[in-house]
Amino acid sequence: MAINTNISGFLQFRPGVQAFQRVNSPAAASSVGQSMNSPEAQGYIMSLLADLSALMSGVGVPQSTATNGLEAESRPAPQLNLNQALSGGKDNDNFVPRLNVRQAVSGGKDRDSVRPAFRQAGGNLAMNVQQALGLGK
Amino acid sequence: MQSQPLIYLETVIEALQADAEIDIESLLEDLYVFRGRLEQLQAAYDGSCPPGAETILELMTCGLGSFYDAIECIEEFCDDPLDSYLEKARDLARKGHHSLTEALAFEPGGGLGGFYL
Repeated sequence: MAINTNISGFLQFRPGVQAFQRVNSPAAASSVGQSMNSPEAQGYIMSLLADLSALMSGVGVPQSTATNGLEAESRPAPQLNLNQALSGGKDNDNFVPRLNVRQAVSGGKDRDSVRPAFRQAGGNLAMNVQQALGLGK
Repeated sequence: MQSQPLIYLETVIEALQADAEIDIESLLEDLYVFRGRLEQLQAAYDGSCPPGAETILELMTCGLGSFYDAIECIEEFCDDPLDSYLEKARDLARKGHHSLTEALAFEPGGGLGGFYL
């Protein structure tokens, strides 16, 4: 199997993301090899692949049987428009980026004299998004 | 198939490295939404993983973990604009991309040939 199994070295699980029990013994590995071909495992893998594929291609909310218990996502899929983001939402045709991200982060003020409160803003933003997704409190 | 969110993440990092003036909150908002959805997906499948399907779930979880860490590095950069944060974010984004690519290339029979990014 051409799957890289050397991935645990950089796994860092977060709250809500559970670690998995790895199969280490040859006997158990053989058992897994057989169970991987079980209809249950195949159905699970195909369902996960379809949902992950839809998510990665920006199609939208996964709709497999495994996600039936989740609330439907009302927000449309993210529109990944870097050009618009670079222009701050303005018409991109007339926009020439000014190369000063530090000033932008500080709200236009001198970076040396102003420490941006970005982390707090980012945290609130993340919380809002999580609430919108039904993941937060 | 394009891994849009991860390509997007790398584009964000490149823009930051180029010191471009960007609406970073808007960029991060999209990344937060994607991360939330990936987290939802992982949680939905985590509780029902049958024997023999652990590898693909582990790959997806690994991709999610890398994505978390990459975004954290970008946030660190916004607090303290050191290039090292962006370099680390780029590495993590690539690791996440690699894990999710492997997950999408997974076949139930154990070989490759499923979905490719």
